[in-house]
Formats: sequence, C-alpha cells, structure tokens
Amino acid sequence: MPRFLKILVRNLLKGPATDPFPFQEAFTPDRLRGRVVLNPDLCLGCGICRHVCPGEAIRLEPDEGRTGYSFSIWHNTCALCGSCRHFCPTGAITLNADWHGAHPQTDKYRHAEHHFVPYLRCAGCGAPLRPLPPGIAARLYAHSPLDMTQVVKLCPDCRLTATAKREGERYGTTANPG
Amino acid sequence: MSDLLTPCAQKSFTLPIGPLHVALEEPMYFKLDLDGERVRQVEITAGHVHRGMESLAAKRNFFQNVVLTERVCSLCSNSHPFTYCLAVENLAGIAVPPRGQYLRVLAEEIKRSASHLFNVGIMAHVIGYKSLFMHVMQVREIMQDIKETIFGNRMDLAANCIGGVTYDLDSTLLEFTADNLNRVAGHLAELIDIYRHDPMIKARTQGVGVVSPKDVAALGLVGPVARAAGAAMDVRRDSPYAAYGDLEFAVITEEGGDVHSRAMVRLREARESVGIVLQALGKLPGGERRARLSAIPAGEAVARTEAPRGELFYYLHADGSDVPLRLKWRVPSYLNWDALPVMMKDCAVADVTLIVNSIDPCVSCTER
Amino acid sequence: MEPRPTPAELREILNNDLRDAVSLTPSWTTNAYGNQYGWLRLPRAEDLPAAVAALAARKARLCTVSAYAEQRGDREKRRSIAYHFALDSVLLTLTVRIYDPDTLEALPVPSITPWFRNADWNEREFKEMFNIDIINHPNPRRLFLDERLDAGIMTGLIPFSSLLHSAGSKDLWERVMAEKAGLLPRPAREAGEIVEPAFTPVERTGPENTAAAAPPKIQESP
Repeated sequence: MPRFLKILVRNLLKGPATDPFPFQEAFTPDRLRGRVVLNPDLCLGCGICRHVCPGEAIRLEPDEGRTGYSFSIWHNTCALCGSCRHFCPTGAITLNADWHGAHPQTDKYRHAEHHFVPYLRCAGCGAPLRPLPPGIAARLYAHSPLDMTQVVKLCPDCRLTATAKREGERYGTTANPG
Repeated sequence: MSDLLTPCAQKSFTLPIGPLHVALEEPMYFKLDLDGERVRQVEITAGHVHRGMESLAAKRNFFQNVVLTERVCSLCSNSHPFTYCLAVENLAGIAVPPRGQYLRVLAEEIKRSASHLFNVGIMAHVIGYKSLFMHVMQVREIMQDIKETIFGNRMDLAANCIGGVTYDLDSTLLEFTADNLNRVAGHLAELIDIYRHDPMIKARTQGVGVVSPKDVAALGLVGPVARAAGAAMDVRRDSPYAAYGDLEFAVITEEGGDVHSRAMVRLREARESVGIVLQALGKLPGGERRARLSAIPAGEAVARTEAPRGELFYYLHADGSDVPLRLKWRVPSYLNWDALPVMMKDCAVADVTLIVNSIDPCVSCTER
Repeated sequence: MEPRPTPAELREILNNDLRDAVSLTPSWTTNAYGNQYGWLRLPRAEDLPAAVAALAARKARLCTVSAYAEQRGDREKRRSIAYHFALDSVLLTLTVRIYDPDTLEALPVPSITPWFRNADWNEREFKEMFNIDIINHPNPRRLFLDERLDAGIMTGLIPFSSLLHSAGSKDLWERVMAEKAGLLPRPAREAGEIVEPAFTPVERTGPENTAAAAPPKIQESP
C-alpha cells in the first residue's frame, strides 16, 4: 500500500485526467478515422471500394442517360475500416478526423454523402469516359514526350488508334485500317 | 429463527453465477456446486453471444474478411486479421516485405501491452482496489492514445492487409511513439513493483486458482495461463513469424500457476512488448510496406500467432474463388476456459470472479 | 535446458510415428518464414484413433479441429474434419473424410477426447454445427446451441446476416436513396481543376433538398 500511496498523491496533484468535453475540444489526432469522404474529381468509378467494403456502405450507379454515375456513402453502415481508402487507386477516398457523427434516429437514412460524378465525352468518338486525374496522368506520362492533356481526353479504344497512327507516322508507313 | 441462523457452511447447494457481469461485461454462465463456501464442481454453459461469424466469413470475399475478423473481439482485434492474413499469405505464397513485417509486429505488440494492462487493471477492480484500477487504466490510456494517433482508432487498428500493412510511420510519429512508450515503461516498472509486493494484492491472489504444469499439458492450455505455471511456450519464439525472428525478447514465465503469477506474467510481458516495439522502431527497415497481390489458389493453409491471450490458430480452405470455402479460427480462450473447473476446485465463492478474470477470458472470441 | 529439436528433426519424428501407426506419411509445406506444415489425409475415419494415439504418445498438442463441407452450399453430405496438432514448432493437419465416397452417406467419427482432453469442446461444436455423429464422446451435451435448435445449423439455415449480407441490404439502401431528394448540383468545372468537396449533410445542401423527400416505400418495422 505505501508504494501505491506515492502514486496516489502524485495523481492527485496532477488533477483530472479527463478532457472537459464539450467545454473544450477533445483529443483528436489527425489520423483519426472519423468519416469517409469522396473527392469526386479523382474518382474513376472502378468500384474497388465497393468490392472491398465489408459493410456495403458504398453504392455506385450509372444514371439513365449515361452522363455520369452517382456515388453514395452511407455512414451508418460504414465500419470505418479504411479499406476503401487503402485500395482506392487514385486517392479519391479519404477519411477525415470528424468524429461528430451523432444524429437523431430520424435522420439515420440521411447520414450519407452523395455525389454525382459526370462522364466526359471521348474527344475521338464521344464515348462516356472518366479522365485520369491530372496529377496521376502527369506522373504516368512524366517521361513521355506526349501531350498528356490530350491523351487523357481519349477513351482506351481511341487512345489505341491514336498510338497506332502515331507509331505508323514515326516509322514512315501509312496507317490504313480499312 | 434458529433455522435462519444456522450457518450455511454446513450445507451444500448450487449457485448460479452469470451469465452477465462475471468480472467483465460478457456473458458466460457458471453453475457452481458448493459445499458451504467451497466450490466443489463447476459447469460452464456457453453460447449466449454466438454469432455464426465463421459461416459469415464463408460468404464474403478475402478482403472483406480482413475487416470481419478484426471485429471478432476488441482486445485482440489486431491478432485476428493478422493471423488471417498470414493464413492467406501461406496459401498464396506471398512474402511480406521487411518493413511490413516490422510494422505488423509494432501494431501487435502495442495491442498486447494495452490488453495486458486492461486485464491486470480489472484484477485490481475485482479485488476492490479501485484506486489502483483507475491508475492502471490511466497508464493504458497512453497506449490508447498511441493507437489512436498512429492508426486512427483506439481498438480496431485496421493495420493489416493481405500482403502487408495499410499504415506507415513518419519520423514525427516514430518519435511520438518512442516518447510515449518510454513513459509507459516507467509506469510499468512501478506497477510491477506494486503488483509483486503489495500485501493486499498478494493476500487476495497468491495461491488462488492454481493450475499445475501437468494440468497445462493435459488441458492444452496456452498463453499467460500456461506461462504462469512455468510452461515456456510462445508462438513468437517457437515458430517465428513476421519480424519476431529478428527481435530480442524473453518468454516470460512464473512458477506459481496462480492468479498472482498470471498477473505478473502479463505485466512483465507488457514491459517486454514495449521493449519489442522500441527495438522495432529502431530497426525499422525502409522499402515497401506490402507485397503485390497474387491470385489465391484453391487449397488449405493454417497459421498461428501469439495473441495476447495465447496461441491463435486460423485454418483457411479456399476453392479458387474470391470467397473462402471455410475459414475457421480457434482463439486462446477456447482452450483456457477448460482450466476453470481445475482452478476453481475447492476455491472460495468470493474468488470465483477473480479466477475467471485471471484467464483473461474472451467470450466473443470463444463463441464467434 | 536441453536444446529444442529442429523442424527437420520434428518432421522426421512425425513421419516415422505416422508411418508406424497408419502406414502413411504426411506431405510437407513451408511458408515465407520457414515454418513447417504437415498434411495427411486419412482415407478411413477408423484410422484416426491409431494416428491420434501416436501423436498423443509423442506429447503433441491438439490446436483445434475444423469440420467443413467439401463443397460450397452442400448442406448435408461430404463432410471432412481437419485435426490440427502442434509438435513444438511444426504443425500437422490430419484430415479425415467422414462419408462413403460411393453413396455419399455420412459416417460417424470416433472421438479423440480420450487422448486429447481439449478435443471435448471442439467435437461438441462440430457435432452441433455440422450434425456429425461422434462415437464414444464422454460428454456429448450441447456446447453453444440451445437444445431446442436442430444440429447442423452451420449449413442448414440461411443466417440472417447472409440474408442482409450482414449490413446494407437492398431495402436499407432504397431508404437511403429515397432520402437523397435529388442529386447534388452537378459541378460545372473544367476537367483538371481539383476542388476539395466540403462534407455537408444532405439535409443542409439547399432549400430544394429540404422539401419533402419521396416517402420511403416500405414502412418502418416496429
């Protein structure tokens, strides 16, 4: 007991160990997994986040006119495991440290984040397309002499055709596909 | 009137304990046959929180199961996905890069010391030493803050993924972790001294709930329960995995086999864990944190690790699809429950809760 | 302290013991850390006691027992049981098929609890979860499941969780989407400009969204 008395006195002198929340902000580290957030500009619509999500908290759905797709995250079935962030190839999904997720029961279906992610049209054929985010395209094409701003506006088929044409011109043959 | 005053020490009767609030807020039901105040026989009834998680695991893909297994239990939540990932990696022949291995050890040992602190704290609570309980929980809070700062959550670290880890450390976090671990190490030295010598703790826990080394072998006991009876078994040393082969640590044993020895094993192991993490921080290699994924072929694999409560075992049977055919796990508590009838034989009723807590039981793990 | 046997020595010990007991030797695999795993399939469940007795004599430890259906969705037939043992640093898995390969009829399996006391819980568990008959179990009462439930529940019932895939069922998502009350305004921006979206709860995104949303199709259950 005397051994512990020393600690007891020390702890008494230190005062309360708890944060006086809500009168003062509580300890919240930057990495706290508080809420899943999507940056639609970086989303490619690949759906890996939906595949790995253990709680089926992510929904992707193309709209009828194929002008884009809706992307929804329902926080109330999200386990905050961060798998979506881990597997997202473009860093479009992040988790912020906002843990203030309490809401009335009546709002449970509204505690969600909805986005509409528009397709661009392929500069070649007009097919719907999600362009590579500029940052990633810049990294991918860093050592390429190509103008990547044009390349990212093409769908895979048109990119293939463009490459064939370009290579053909480089080697002096005429591309004559038909 | 005289009937009512007859000391019940003369009578034998049956006393139900549980299913709720036996030491911890997890349901397990004990039927005790008493002879006066002495326990003569114990019957355990389980199944109150059986959730069919193994069945669920056979309906979800390999990635989703990493998260599912992390939710088996909160105290050893890191050990489950860790061992599951090892089983998948054993099957697919994936080699985790060195940095990933070290980071896995780091997460595991931080969890272990927090888990052990929690258990010895609850022990103080059970014997009525509330001020010590509060102090131990406050020391554990340093570990909780480390977890929250590195991983973003106090319990579910989400550190493991198939092929490595999801998280990384920068120099600021390395320093933060080392500083706080050194604080914990100081507290642990103090706590070890108190638990070793405090007359109240000794009076309540020494010679209570004894298992002999013979019982350990016969019942197949694992973890601190086995080590407190002198059985030097530890998966980390016996068949090393992740970076444990590169790190120096002692397999902690005590000789008493009683509640006190088990608490001492846990406290000393917590200190050992802090040492392992500090070593891992110092030796943390550079490079990739995770391996490239390959297809998971049909076949079987097993994996085991040393979870805070002892050997954790995973069996995986895949059929070539992305959903396991069978995923089975056996938690350390599953084996250690069986030690309770031995430990409680002829003990006093007042010690029942203390003995239950001393195996650091996990019901949600056991029943899955 | 006497030196611990090496994994290679342990392999040899197990090979010899099992050869003597059941005239079979396990095949061995190794993982990235050099840990050794032995695998042996016993063609007949009757061979199990001999193999298990040999392991018990060697003071191996039973890690656990895993029963499983050999084919996904097979609710009744073709069960196998894998018995996992540890001998110091190596693990050995003995698998027995407990059905007749011709008729697919389920066969009972002998209890190994006489040799390994900790098989008790494992055997009771697979008995109730997979409806496997055990010969000579010393304590054949239920472990987890209530007596009123049928044995074999592990594959016999469709769990509620799989019905809902444990979380966001179609029904729940319909309610979430019903509350969405129209999509957010589409960003009219040049491709290439990245703007961090600020999280705003849907009900606060604008007056048009606070108008009565389409009522949920399904009444909330009481």
